[in-house]
Amino acid sequence: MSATVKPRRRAALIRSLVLTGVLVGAILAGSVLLDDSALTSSIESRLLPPGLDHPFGTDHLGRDMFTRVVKGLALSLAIGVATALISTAISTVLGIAAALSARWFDNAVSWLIDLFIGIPHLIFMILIAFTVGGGIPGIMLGVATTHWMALALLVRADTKQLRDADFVKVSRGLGRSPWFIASRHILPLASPQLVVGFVLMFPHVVLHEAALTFLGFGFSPQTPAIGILLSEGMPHILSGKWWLAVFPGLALLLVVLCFARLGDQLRARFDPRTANG
Amino acid sequence: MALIVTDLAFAHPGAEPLYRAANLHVEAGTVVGLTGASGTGKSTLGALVAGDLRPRSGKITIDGRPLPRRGFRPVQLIHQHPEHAVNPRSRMRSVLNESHRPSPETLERVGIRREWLDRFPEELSGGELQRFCIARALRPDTRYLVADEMTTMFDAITQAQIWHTLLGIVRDRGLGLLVISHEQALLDRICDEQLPIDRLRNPHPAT
Repeated sequence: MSATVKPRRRAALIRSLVLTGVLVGAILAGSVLLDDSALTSSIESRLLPPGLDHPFGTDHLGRDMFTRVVKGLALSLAIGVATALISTAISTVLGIAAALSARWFDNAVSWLIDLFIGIPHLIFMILIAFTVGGGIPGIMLGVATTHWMALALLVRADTKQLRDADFVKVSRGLGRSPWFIASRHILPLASPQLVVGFVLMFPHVVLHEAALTFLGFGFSPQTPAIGILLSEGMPHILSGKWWLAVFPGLALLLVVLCFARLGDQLRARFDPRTANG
Repeated sequence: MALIVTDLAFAHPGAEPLYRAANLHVEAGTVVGLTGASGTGKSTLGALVAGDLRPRSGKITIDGRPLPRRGFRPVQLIHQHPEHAVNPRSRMRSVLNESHRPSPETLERVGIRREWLDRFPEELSGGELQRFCIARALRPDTRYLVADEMTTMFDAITQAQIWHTLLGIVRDRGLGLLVISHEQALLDRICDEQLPIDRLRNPHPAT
């Protein structure tokens, strides 16, 4: 790596961190500060285009779209973080356990990974969400159980490399348990990979949460979720009420792009060999 | 009281057998040198004796008992590269405590300064790190040590200091020490007995 590329990458990473932090902070602050009264129905102000009073316009029930988008994004962020955390935990536990355990367990985990990769994940997600009954548990379970495989493969490969490191052999010779080795030696060294995996998983999770909700398997229609806003707004695009779908879509795109970019830059920082940028 | 290897056979996956029927005897309280050129299987034997590798067949006993497959192994291996033998993310205190909590007297004897305990491995030199590896290997229940090219990477003064320290402790505690090295002058100076690796690999040469 040339001398100028490294500081440039670092500056880009800091910019991404600041931008994502400001965006998340603004969404969370907005969801707390914005008044819920803007979400009550009002016949007089239905389907108003964007203006000073309603920057993102109003919907067919006269509710302020800006408030709905901000509250929807806050909900998406919360669900996204929780789901990505569950998915990262599944990847970590299975990846490390497979690499440190007996060969039959490693083979079983490999088979499970192949199985989950082999099934089209949107169908799988819908099935799981439908089985659980939709809502927050359906979305979290559906998305978390279909997004752990890539990171689990990475963690498993990293752990296999570390398993043969001299300091791990020494630890085994000192009688330390696989649990001790996993928590003291493997996890601290695999943690950058986990952070990158989590951040890169997050935009997928948010998008899939919106997709599941859009398809009718996620949140209930009363919830101000981005997927609900999009599915409500789509029929109005052709009748010229573009703001009902464009603003929620753009807001979702902004959040997803910010996290995807941050994830790519973190990967370039922690593991430059596998990064493209 | 001895570390005894009987009819040991081993081959790396997909390779010719390295050992077919190797025998080795390291009496407690003695220093045995294993000599031979690079790439002839000395380190592999060290790893087998320390339990890091499993033999295809044969027996390794420690004071009459088989080398345990699980739990603490009374044969401890000191590696050639100390920087690879410690977790780069652990402070040195935690590296030491992974084994036991050595007394201040032991630390002083091995040459570990108190202020080094709060440092990370990258903040210490190779010689300083190797002292930690030695202290870590010297648990109260350690019976034998395998020193695999332990000081090859260091300058003459550091080598002399480390060997002086280790040999003193080995004699005082009556430990058995298997020294793997291709430095003949070192082996001549410190070993009670020397074994060429060829004799282990080919115990019955054709006449």
